[in-house]
This record gives sequence, structure tokens and C-alpha cells, in this order.
Amino acid sequence: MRIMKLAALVLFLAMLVLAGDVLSSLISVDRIDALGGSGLINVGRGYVIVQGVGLYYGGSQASRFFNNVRLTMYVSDSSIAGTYEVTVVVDNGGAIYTVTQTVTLSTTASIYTFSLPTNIAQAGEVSITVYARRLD
Amino acid sequence: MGLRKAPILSFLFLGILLLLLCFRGVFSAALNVSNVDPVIIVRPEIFKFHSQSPLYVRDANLTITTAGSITSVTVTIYNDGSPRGAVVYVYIYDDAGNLIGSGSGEIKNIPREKTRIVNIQLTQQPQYSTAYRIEVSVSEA
Repeated sequence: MRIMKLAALVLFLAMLVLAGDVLSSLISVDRIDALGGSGLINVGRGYVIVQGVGLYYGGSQASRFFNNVRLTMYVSDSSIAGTYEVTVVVDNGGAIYTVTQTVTLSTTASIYTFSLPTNIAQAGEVSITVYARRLD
Repeated sequence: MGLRKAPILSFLFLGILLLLLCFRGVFSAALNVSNVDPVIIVRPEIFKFHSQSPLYVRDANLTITTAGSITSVTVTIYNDGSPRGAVVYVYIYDDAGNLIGSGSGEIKNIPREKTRIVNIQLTQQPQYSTAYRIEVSVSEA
């Protein structure tokens, strides 16, 4: 009789374990890496807006070379203002350059300079892709 | 007496252990939720400049209204050769590759090794939230 009671108790506890696992699977979330190409995640709350992109050679645009990219950026809502890790991928006719830096974004547009490791002769086709990941 | 209590204590210990195991997933999930970033989508995500030597697209800047519409694009063109005019086209695409906005403009004359700016009004005015890719191209007028 005592053994039966103990077995029932163990069974009950095992069911609790399963219930806990089910509950956890319901409330847990996974990364969605493909979302917006931004490597980010589960609950949508706003946008990082890239208002403009400029290719510069030093401080000038009067050149067919460039060694830094200037992005004009802001966030769509004050609730998502804060520190971001922004990555810029420059594809200059097949040659890829990637620069990442931390910036503080607000609802006011600001210009951020991303320095490239070398002087680049601008190709016929240049693609600038911007990714952002919130840090705080 | 001690010998009779030993199995009870053992099962009590086992029970507590199982209860902790029971809630391990919940604790883990709660920790994951607190560490998860919100979805921050970059819009537009890609700017693509199509140049045709000696004319180069150097800058594209969107005019976005407070309502979120892209109304125009200001483009800077650099001329690396002798003075000439340029025609500039702007295309805006959504995630699916659909054209959702476009426009064109002309610059009469760009002096040698100088830049000129042209503001291109868009025929459609898409919401920035739907704009995934901006393409700007330049050719000689």
C-alpha cells in the first residue's frame, strides 16, 4: 500500500515536470535571424530609419574614391531610442567591406561616420546594406 | 525511529528535487524573455548606387514626412570627367521586390571634378516602413 502511494507521488511529480516544460515552451521565444536581415528578434516595436547614405573621401564627396560612409539615421519612436550596434556592409562591385560600431540613436536624425579600412575606387555598382541591433 | 524516518526524508528530498526540475523550464524561459531584444527593423535596409563613369552617385537622402511618407530623394552626383549633364533615376522597392516609388531628375551641367545635387520628386510616395531597397542610377544626359 505504501509503495503504491509512493508510486502515485512520483507519477504526480513527473506530470508536474512535463507541465513545467509545456508551460516553458509556451512562453519562451526564439531568435528569428532572418527578420529584416537585422538578426533580431521577437516583439516588433519600431524602426531604425536610414534617411540617407553618402560616400566620402575624407570629408569630400568630390572624388571617385571613398574611405568612409556617412549614414543619417534616427528611430521611429522614443521608446526604442538608445544604444545600437550598427553594421554597414559595402559591396563595391563584388568587393565586400564590413564596418560595425556602436551609436546612440534618438528620434532626431543624426549623421554617423563609418570609416572603411582602405581607399576604395567607386565601382559601377555599389550596395550599402545597414543592420542594427539594440544593445540596451 | 531514525531508521523509520530515513525513507520519508529521502522521498521528501526527491520531491523537492523534482519540483525544482519542474520549474526549471519556467525559470529558463523567464530569463530568456528578459534578455530578448525587441524587433528593430532597419528601413530602408539597402541603398544601391549605379554609376556610369565618369558620373558617380555619391549620396542619397530621403525626405520623409511626419506621417512617414517618402516624398523625394536628394541625390549628389560627382563628375570625374569633362563637363556634362546627367539624368538621375530613383527606384524604391519593398521586401518582395515590388516597385513602390520612383522618380527622375536632370542636372544640366556638372563641371569637371565637381558635385551637383538634384532633388527628385517621387511619383508615388511610399511609407518608409515598406521601403526595403533604394536604387539610384545616373547616366549622361
